[in-house]
Amino acid sequence: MLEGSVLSTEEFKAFAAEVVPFLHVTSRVEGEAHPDMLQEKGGRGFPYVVAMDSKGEVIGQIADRTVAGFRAMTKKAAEYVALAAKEKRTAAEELRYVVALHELNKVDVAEARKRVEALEGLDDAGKKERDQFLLVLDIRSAVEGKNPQAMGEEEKIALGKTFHEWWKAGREPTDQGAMQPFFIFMLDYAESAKDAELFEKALGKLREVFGPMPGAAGFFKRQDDRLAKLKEAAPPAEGGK
Amino acid sequence: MRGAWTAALAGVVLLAAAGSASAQQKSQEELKKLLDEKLAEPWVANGSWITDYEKALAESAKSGKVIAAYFTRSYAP
Repeated sequence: MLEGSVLSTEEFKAFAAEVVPFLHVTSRVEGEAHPDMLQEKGGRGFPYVVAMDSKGEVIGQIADRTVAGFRAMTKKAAEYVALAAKEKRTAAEELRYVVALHELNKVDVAEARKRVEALEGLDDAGKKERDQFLLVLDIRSAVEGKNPQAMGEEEKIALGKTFHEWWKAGREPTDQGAMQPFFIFMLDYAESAKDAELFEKALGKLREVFGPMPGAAGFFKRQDDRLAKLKEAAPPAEGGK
Repeated sequence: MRGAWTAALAGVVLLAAAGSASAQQKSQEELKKLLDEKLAEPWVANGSWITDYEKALAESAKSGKVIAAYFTRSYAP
């Protein structure tokens, strides 16, 4: 729990002096101020952390619930504000701005795609960054509105097959939010195709990033069991990436 | 997207509504007591948290600092 760890540290206290630390406690006590603020700021569960400006607009979200994650969030938020305030942005700045707008759900996938595809003058690094962002948008489009716990097997397998095609074509997400559906559905496809090698590679990608995550041990144990069964049932596959 | 899939991976789904039933079963007196206890926890009491939203906005406008907002609850664990 953040409250007994990160928020109780001296390091966090030092960080708090650099920002305006605002605490909202939903209490269900009648007459409490702003009882629906969590939802109004985009929160779906507790705890929830965001950066806001002086008007209460959400301008940053936390990716990593550590003190460093808090710092990265507010730094990114300040960059977003600076980019938003610019009358004219370079192509690289516009790309960063659209990425930020998308992360903050201020533009939809279609608008984000349109704006970054129209960018001219990006250098090679900028082009790579744009390709990575377009992949995130493609993955987001593919899984939009889908609840992984309510999807049918065939739908999962079909998505996994699509993602595998993209992977074979050299497209691999580095964004953690995009990596999860990309490789998790690929596991379903690999299992259906009895492709233990592909299953192991996709699982390895997930483990590299999410293996140390608290609460992920159960997920990886289940996938290891699936892989073991796949290996028992099938001879070495020709597949893989 | 990130939140939903992180939850899927961890096998944990946190919903804002979760715990509301138990909150409804508690009396206002109990809820008030839980709120007081929450605000007295060391991480709050020893921190520099502003719990008044309007004050936080005013402080941000005055100082030019970004607001780092933390949302939690007192009516359930």
